[in-house]
Amino acid sequence: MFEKFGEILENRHEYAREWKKRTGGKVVGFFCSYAPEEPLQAAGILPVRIIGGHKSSDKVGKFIAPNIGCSFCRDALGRGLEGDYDYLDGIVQGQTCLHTGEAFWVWEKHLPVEFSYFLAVPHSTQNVGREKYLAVEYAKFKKALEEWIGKEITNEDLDRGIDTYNTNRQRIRQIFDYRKQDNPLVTGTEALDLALSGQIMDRNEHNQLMKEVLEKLPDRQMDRDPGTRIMIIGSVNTDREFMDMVENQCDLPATIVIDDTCTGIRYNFNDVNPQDDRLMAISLRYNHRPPCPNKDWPRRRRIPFIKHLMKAYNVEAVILFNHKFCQPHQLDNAVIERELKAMDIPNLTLEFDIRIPIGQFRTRVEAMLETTMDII
Amino acid sequence: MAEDKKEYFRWVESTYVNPDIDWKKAEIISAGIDVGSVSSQMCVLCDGEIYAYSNTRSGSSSPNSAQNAMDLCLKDTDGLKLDDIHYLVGTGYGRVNIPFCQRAITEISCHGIGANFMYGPTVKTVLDMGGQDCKTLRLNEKGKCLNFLMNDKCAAGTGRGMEVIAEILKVPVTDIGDRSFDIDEEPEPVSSTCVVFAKSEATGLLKDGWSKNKVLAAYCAAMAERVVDLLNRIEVEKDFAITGGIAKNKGVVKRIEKLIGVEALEPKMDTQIAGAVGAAIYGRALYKKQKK
Amino acid sequence: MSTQAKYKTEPMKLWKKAKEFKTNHFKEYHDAHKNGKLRFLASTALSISMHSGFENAVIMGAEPFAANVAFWKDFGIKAMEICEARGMSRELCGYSKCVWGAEFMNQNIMPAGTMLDEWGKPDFASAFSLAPCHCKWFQILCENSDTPMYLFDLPKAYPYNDENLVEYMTGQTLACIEEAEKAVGQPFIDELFIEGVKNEIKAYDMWTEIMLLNQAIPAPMDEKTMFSFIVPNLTRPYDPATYEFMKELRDEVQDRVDRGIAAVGNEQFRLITDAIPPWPALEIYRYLEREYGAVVVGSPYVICLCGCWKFENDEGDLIPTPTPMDLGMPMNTREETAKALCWYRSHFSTETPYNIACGEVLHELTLKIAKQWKADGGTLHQNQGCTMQALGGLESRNAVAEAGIPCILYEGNDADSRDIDMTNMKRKFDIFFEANNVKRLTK
Repeated sequence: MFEKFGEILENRHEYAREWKKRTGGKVVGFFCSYAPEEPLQAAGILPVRIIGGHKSSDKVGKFIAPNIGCSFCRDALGRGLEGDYDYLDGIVQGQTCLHTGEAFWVWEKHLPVEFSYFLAVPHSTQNVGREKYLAVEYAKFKKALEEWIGKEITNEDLDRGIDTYNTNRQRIRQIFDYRKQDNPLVTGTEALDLALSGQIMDRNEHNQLMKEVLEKLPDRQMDRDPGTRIMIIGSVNTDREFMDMVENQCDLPATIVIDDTCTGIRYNFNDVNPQDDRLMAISLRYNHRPPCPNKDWPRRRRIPFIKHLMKAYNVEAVILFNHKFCQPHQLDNAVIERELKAMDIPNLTLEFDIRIPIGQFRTRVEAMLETTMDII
Repeated sequence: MAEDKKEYFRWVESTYVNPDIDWKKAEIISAGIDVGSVSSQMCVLCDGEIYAYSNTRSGSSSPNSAQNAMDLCLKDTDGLKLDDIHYLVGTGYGRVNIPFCQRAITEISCHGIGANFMYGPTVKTVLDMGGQDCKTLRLNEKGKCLNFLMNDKCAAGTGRGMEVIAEILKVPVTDIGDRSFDIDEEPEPVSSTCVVFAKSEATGLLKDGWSKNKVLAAYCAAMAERVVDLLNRIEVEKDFAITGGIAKNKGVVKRIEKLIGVEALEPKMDTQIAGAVGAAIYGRALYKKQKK
Repeated sequence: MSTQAKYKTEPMKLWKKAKEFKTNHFKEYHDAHKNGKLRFLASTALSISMHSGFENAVIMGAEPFAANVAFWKDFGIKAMEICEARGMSRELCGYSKCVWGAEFMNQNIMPAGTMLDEWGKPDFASAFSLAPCHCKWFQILCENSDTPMYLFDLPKAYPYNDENLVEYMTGQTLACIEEAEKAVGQPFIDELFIEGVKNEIKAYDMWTEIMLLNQAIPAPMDEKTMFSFIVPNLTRPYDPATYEFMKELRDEVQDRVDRGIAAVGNEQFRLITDAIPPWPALEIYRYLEREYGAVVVGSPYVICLCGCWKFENDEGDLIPTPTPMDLGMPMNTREETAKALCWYRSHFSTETPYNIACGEVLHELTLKIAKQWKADGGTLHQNQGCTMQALGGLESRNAVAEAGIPCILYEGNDADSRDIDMTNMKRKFDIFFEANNVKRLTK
């Protein structure tokens, strides 16, 4: 039922090239989920998230030191330097962390594209004036886009872009709802394929695929022991190998029922509420969405959000991860760990890198699962 | 010439059979095999008591290492064979490749249960310093693991690291601990504990006039420091016990105790068999559950 | 005055005064409550003078606080270890761990090395989102110590003169003042604030003059010495005494330039660096000077830290930003002053070059500095303790080296001495100088 999403994800570059040929449209890469996708969609552009391939590239070391730069960004930049993304017409970044920022600037300097834009998304999601600030930045971005594509982006275009993305996020959430069941009808691996494929394909096409899934999903029969219900918390999760190991290869059964990652629910949790000022509407959505830890201050909004998800999805154990050298997530993980300990929820913290030591991780995951069993 | 051929890293393999137990009278015979990257052990329990165990060096093949451990363990038993064992649990790094075990359980859980058996129900914190990894565990009174931390990205603080030092300095690995105290003054820990650079660092210190014992002391101190990080993060609660091969190295153990201000329980049996013991205990419990 | 083979040299007259300034300020901060005053802990990016309207406030810069902890190695390591014991990753910002460590241990250390039995809990704290973790640093600090705080968002400060940014920053400044008033229960006096901000701007502007003087050959100051002179601007920029001190310093440096007095008598190789130095290993500067006559003449860090700069016409050289007073910007009310301050400080100052997502202009800035300050080479600090500064290091090195100025990176840490290997650091420099035919001055 979900194989199609996995296939498109696996063959994302071929998909993008084929989309370009088919539609004559432009493709713009983005690094972070705070990128302004709705205006890009409104402009008839295909926004694709630049992700790594879990392959090292020796070309990155000239620009970002391997003992400083976040492993996800080095992997993603590496794919660019290796030519995987040569079809991109532009790149865009919504300011979040320095690592994605550095990856953007290095890309812009060394892999020239027709269009590049660094959107100054506020770091704060709580400070006075942030919503207006971002709306004005969107207006500047829209103008730059219009200059590039040579036509105006109208309110109707923006409405279409907003509607496409709202539909996309809503359908993802609807499918995710089936993971709340005692025997979830969607595995974590499938959910990752679903959510991540949306970030690399035309959302309208993704919406159609999801519509088909939603028609069949209620009747799905699962032939697996769901086991321990796990939540995965972290940043960008593109590691299918890891998800599959947890759900299908451990000696004890487990299912990843929900996540707080930016390739999952955190990115898809809320919608744009239409209003006359479309750019303000988009700004409000990005300001109010569950925040990246980089933007989660002074009051913590992320932890109540995580607790809400744990309750809604009946989570029994948690895997926390951060990419190597990712400070925002390292900082939050230490605090989340303490909260989980206070709640008596078994948890495990792992550090992801471009390639993960799957055997060693399996030992850790199994050990955590074993803490939930009472044999002796 | 003879000294050049001597393998300083090599520790003595061992085996044990309890002369007071007749395995033929046991109701449940369970066993655990712990296949680690450097050493492998097997332990046989008869009705929950240790009947036999072995401690051997691992090879490159996990199934062979498991077989060797088993062959050595059963060699001096009174005809005990694999078929006589009711339930066998595999653990350790090579657990997924032991063809004759019925179940694999991680070494984390097994070390917890094993430490509980070997040291008693008061043990709340365990440090396992194995061949190529280090782990710290917090246990409840039954030996169940409540929390754990592992560090296996770096060989410093592991048995392999100590073996490398033994070879570089041509000191038998079993002598390192005692010799590290035969010094006038405790040196600073070496600054670079990277096992890859150990030779150049050790050479430099010897050239500066350090005695071998002093260099050993500096390495033991550095290892202790590396490991104490893990202990501090898990928050040591008494009683504290150490399992694994390095528990036999007083040079590291005493320095750890000094850094954390807590003494480790004195081991009464071979500390390297903790994983295999725990696996065998799990085997007994799983067999009983199966029978129900 | 001693004579060297190449240049005359003499110690800086104001160095002792600078040290006293620092010691007195740390003492005043520590003793604030005893003396009926308030403690404010503020990250030095933009927010020091924001609190100058509180008559009874003693404002400590969080970064000088942290750097002092790092400088005292043993205490610094204890700070690191206690953070790690609490689950903080070793890779986290070194400065944050220095301050958290002091907080967790409830201890601190004075600049002269005297231990204090309390860390100096502030009554109010503020920080700017310079780096991925600056605001998170303060979030954790204030959660653990129950300290009210205001955390500023500084999204992107380049290109300059962005009205949207200045408006956003101004609004936050005004909000911060209101929050602080509520939190400390004392009134914010606008006249003090206006005066404080003007003093800061003047002091920062004076620093740019001083930095420009260091383009002279021989360099009148070396960077290690400069670290003592940045403290007033980082801790009391609002104080008129700071501006007076900076003027004195400018005069002394001008005098040294006029008389050809060198910081390093055997100056034969001028270096730039880039980032916060390895505070636990500052002796490396003296090693370079003694062994090779290599003087570090500047860096984006020390040049921009307490001065405001811009690229001329966004293309040319680095020049001091005109002050709001130069441009006739009104500063008669709280709002006007906040706006002027935000406008001024949003130019290349403190860490804004790094905040500008490293890669956009940092490498260009580093190269400009190398050229304008007449560097013969660059030794950039790959600072494991600060992602914000280290992330763009390779691109900076590439830019400088591709312009024909030899440039290397060396590994270190601004706060964690366990990451500093002096033997290998010296070896790296030895190889660098040998490869560039720089004669070793000692046997």
